[in-house]
Order: sequence, then C-alpha cells, then structure tokens
Amino acid sequence: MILLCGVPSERPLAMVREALDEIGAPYLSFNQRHVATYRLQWTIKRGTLAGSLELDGTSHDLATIRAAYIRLMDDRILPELRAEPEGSPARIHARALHDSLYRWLEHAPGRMVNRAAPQGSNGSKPYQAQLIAQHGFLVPDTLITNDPDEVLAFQRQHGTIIYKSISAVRSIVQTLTEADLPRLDHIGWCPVQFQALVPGHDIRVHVVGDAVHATEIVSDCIDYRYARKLGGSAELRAITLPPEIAARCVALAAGLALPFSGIDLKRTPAGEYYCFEVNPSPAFSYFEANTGQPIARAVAEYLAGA
Amino acid sequence: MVLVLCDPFDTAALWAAAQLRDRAVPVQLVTSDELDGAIRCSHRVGRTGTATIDITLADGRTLTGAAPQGVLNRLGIAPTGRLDRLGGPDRDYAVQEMQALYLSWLHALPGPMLNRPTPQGLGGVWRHPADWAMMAGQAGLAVAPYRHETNAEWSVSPTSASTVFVMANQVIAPPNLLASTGLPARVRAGCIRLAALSGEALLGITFTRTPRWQVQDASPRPDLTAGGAALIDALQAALTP
Repeated sequence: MILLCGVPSERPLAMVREALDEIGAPYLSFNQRHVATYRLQWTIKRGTLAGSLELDGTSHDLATIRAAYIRLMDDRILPELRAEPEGSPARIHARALHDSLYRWLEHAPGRMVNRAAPQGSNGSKPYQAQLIAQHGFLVPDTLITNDPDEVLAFQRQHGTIIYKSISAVRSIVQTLTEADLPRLDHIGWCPVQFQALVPGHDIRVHVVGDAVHATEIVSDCIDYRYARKLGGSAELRAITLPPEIAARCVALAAGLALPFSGIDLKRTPAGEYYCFEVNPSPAFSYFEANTGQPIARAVAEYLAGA
Repeated sequence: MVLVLCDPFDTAALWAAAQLRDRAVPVQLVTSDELDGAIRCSHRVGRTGTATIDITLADGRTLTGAAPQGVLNRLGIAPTGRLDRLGGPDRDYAVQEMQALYLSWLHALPGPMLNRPTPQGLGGVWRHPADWAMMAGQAGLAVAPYRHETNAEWSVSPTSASTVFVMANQVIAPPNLLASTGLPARVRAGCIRLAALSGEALLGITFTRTPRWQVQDASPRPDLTAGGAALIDALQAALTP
C-alpha cells in the first residue's frame, strides 16, 4: 500500500495519484485537511515499528504501508485551522499528528519519497554545493561575506555576479548591479551569498530512482522561475543528457539519499555541466505540463515497486 | 592545535579544553558569543567544491582552517544574538541564513572533528528519543518500549543513569562505573554498533541499570566530564593525530 500525504488538490500530489490510478496501484490518502479526524499511534520495541493509522474511520496497519509520497504543507497554515487560536486543542492535535507521522516516516521501511532528514542538505546551499562537488559536478564560484570590499573584488574577478539566499528560504536570484552598490554596506548585518554568473542553458533534471528526465530551459531571465513575473520568457523542452551526466545525476541523488529529486544544472557554451542545487521536494508539475515528460508516472512506478 | 567551539557556559567543553591544555596540547577556545561578535566573515566555495573560511573575531584572532587541526565542535545552533535587534521577518530570515552559513563553513574545516556538523545539528545530529529507541534496539541494546504520543518522554529516573562514551570504535566508561560492576561485553559491543548507526564519531550513551543495562538516551554532545582522564586520552588521540 502507498500512502499519499498532503492536500490532494496540490498538483504534484494529484498527478501522482492519477498516475497510480493508471497503473492500478493501491494507495491511501492522508488528506491534511481531514487531520482533525485522523489518529496515528505506533510503538518501537526492540528496534521494530508497529502501529496503526486511522483515516476517515478506517484503521490501517502501518506494516502494510510500504511506500509514501510526502507533500505535506505546513500544518500551522491549514485552512481548517485558520480560525483556531494558538494552543487550541485542534492545533495541538494537528501538530502532534504531523510530528508523529514525520517520525514514523523517518523509520518506516520502504520507499519514502522523500524522508525528512536527507532533505536537510538543501537547507544550506554552500554546504550542499560541497557535497555536490564530491559527485563530480562543477559548482559556481561562491563567496559568502559581510565585507563589501571583498564583494567588489569578487565582482572585479568574475565580471557579472549574482546574489541569492544561503538557506532554503526561497529568493529571486538577482544580478549585482550599480544600483545595488549604495546598499552594499547592509551585508554587515548578515553575510550574503554571491556567485559568479555561469553562462549557458539551465537544465532541470528530475531523478526518480534510476530514471532521469531532463528539461532544458531557454530563458532571457537570470531566474527562469520568475520569467513571466519579470516580463521575460522561458521555453522548456525535453532533452537527453549525455550518459555520463545522467549517471552522475543518479549517483548524486542516491548519495544524498533522495530517491526523487530535482537537480538544477547549467550547461555552459564550453560544454561543462555546473550543478546549482538538488531540490529534495521538486514541484515537477510545471515541467511535466510544459514538456509532457512522464515524471508523475515515474514517481508512481517507483512507489509501486516497493 | 585543537580548536574548541562551544557555548560560553558549556562547562563540559571548557573542562575538556582545560584538561587538554594541562597536557600541553595547544588549544584555541572560541565561544559562540565570540563567533557572534566576529567583525569579518568570508566563506568561499570554489568550482570544484574546495571551500575556505576566514573569520576575524573582535579580539583580532582569526579562524582560517588553513592548517588541519582537530576540532571539538560543541555548537548546537548558529549564534544569532546580534540579529535580535532586527526583529520581525528580517530576523527570522537572517537566522536561517546564519544557520546555513555555519553548517557550510564548519563542514569546510579540515582535520578531525568531534562531531561533524549536520543539517540536523551543528555539533552532530539532534535526534528525537524515538530515533534513539529505534537505533538502540537495532544495535541490540536493551531499551524501554517507545510509544509515540503527544509529548511522550522516556520516564526513567536520571538518578541511576551512567553515561558511556564511544569514540573511534573505543568504548570509554566512567571510572566509577568500571570500579563497580564494569561494562558487560555485549553492552560494549552494542554501544559500538549504536555509534556506527548514528554516524557520530563521538557519542555519549546514557544507561539506567534496572538492574539490566537499558539505554535511556544518547547524545552527540554529552557531558564529557563523566569520562574522566580516559576520555581526555581518547580526545587527545582523536584530535591530534
């Protein structure tokens, strides 16, 4: 049995559910919006897990759940809890249930896509970059500093440089321009991450187990994710990676213990492949919708293969 | 040279630093408050992943990581006191940025480190009691059954607890414990397996004896003072190879 965790209408989750229907794989839905009625209890005895999950009045033996696709949103902002004050019984129940679910998912055997602990590497981009480089990819030359003079020297060294968040907090990648220089002293409060601009085409690689789906993005924006918002364009098309690069992506995802990942690459005009980050919970629907690549199907088949 | 990174009131780390100095081991002690007050910070990651740090503390000392040195890393989270005056979402953002920065520059330090930084804790993985219960059972150690409920805690009296240390496949038991009953061989072997499962180079495992040896808790940042001279011997060997 496969457990689908999250809000069922969320696109990636809905697409995987549809793909499971297509292949006839059985699943259960842990619908976060029904959290008030759910119950979960489990025990650990001599290193073995046992317990049950009650969903919509039906109890399920946890031992029968051999895979999970985890797209849980922050339970504190669930619409059903919006009117609940802090510390209300409903909020306490929701928090405890989610905590219990996350704990169980960390230890339960089977194909959990993805467990929480391995996702942690994405919480620090320069840390993850060091891990990425161990798998043979180049990473952008990076400087994190609170020293404006060092930033200016870095800019002189590399020409165009960009800045973005160090952590997993999402930020729009921006080019450092003349207009930014008057406020460069502000970095004294908190170091900022700068990177040499790597020329070339962006490539998003979704790795599902051993399956690789690569999408090339041609955009006139530094951060193609915001192309439309910034008045630019982004064109997506499915591509086939050179075998050694595809194999490197699979090894990288496996090395980070992420059976499903979204790897951001850039291929330079010189044919080098840089890796920017590995997204541990990729919202693949945008790529599948634009290219028709069967990513949801690959996730479903991976889950069903447990 | 051994670099000791710790909070200013981490008496176990301060004790270990003093003990190492008593043995004529050069020690550079840097507290989280001193890191928080650093006047300059520079961390680079090159295109092949080679990483460097260059931190200048307010007293003029620098951390460069240029020469490999042993590190006793007792930091839990990044110090962010200086950000308190920001407040609001800017502070929340900056705290996450600092945590991400610390994880990366600590990871970049060459040489042996007890313990390595992880996304789940700068001085080793912070684990929930359920995690330790699972791993202790898998390691063949006795452990109280764990039932996951809201606010569930292991209900074992700490008064009868003893901490055993594992470092580099070596089990170090407190002197008072060795003087009394000693550590059974099967428990010793289980401790080594638990440390391996946790991935921590230095692990403190707390047992209760009821009368059997039962794991109560474990930590990558244990109270080192209980280990006595034997633990300092092992620390010195691990950090000054």
